[in-house]
Amino acid sequence: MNMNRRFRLPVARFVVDLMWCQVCLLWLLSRALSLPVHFWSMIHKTVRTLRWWNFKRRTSNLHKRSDAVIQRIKSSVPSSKEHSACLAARNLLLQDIEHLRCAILDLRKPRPLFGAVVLRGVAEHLHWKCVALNSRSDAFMCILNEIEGDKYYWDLALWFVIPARRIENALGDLHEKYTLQSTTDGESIATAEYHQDVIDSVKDWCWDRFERWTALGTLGDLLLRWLKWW
Amino acid sequence: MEKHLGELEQLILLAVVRLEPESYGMRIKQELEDRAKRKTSVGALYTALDRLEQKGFVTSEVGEATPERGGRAKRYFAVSPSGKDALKRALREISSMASGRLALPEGAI
Repeated sequence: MNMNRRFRLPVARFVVDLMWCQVCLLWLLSRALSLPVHFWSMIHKTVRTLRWWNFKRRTSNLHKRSDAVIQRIKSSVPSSKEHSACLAARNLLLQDIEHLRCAILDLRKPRPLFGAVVLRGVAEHLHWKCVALNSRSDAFMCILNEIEGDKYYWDLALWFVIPARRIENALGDLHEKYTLQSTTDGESIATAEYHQDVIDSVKDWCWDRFERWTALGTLGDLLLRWLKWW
Repeated sequence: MEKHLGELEQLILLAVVRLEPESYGMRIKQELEDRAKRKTSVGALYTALDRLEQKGFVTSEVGEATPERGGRAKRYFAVSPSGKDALKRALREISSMASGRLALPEGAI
């Protein structure tokens, strides 16, 4: 029992250190993410500006050529072959100008940044990780409030495996059941039930996590088979 | 694609329907034990509720915190209209599979 009590605080410290490491990791990841975002947006803007200037230059060149053709049409004899050739050339040039004008308008429209989908996905993932860490730390504070209680280690065991969004509800349900049962059936039965519930829940949540990883393994296996076949 | 319900999911949906608007984790678990004689861990219960929520068959909202829960909030669940439809469909399927083969008590399904 003494040994049991002696380890309570070091275990709590270990969990706090673990959470601290997670916070540091998330901070580093978010900082690391900002670098490619700036880099990507810079490249994207540069490419767009270059393309815009290029289109503008081509348009003004075409305008000049078109004006020259118009001058030649005006100076040539109306029935001559040169006149009809010039008209055809002018029409082609006007078509080119229209095409370029459309391209410039298209360039001016706001477009999603190349690779933004991936970056947004990573950023959202980081955001949800932060939210999860927040609820985990809240739940841990509740467990720490009962550090002297008999259920400390059992709550911690659950805390490690429960998904963050369900920690508060699941622990609350177990505690409520324990409180009600200890008044009706006695403390020993309530404690035994509580322990059984925790063991079953840990087993179920671990199995759930394992199943997710096996799904990834199956995907990896399929990928390997496809690569071998290819 | 039609989403189907597993056996535990059907029982949980029925428990939520019976308990509404007071259907939260502990009450659902107790209802399953009392009525269906089904011992379910909190882990299995919440995994199934998560699945149902992902399928859009149940909705949930945070409730009040009580001292017997150690100051932790409850989460109330409610069956959505699509969840009720899925439940009716599942019960109809069982009824049609059992008809003429198993003598079910009157009004069982």
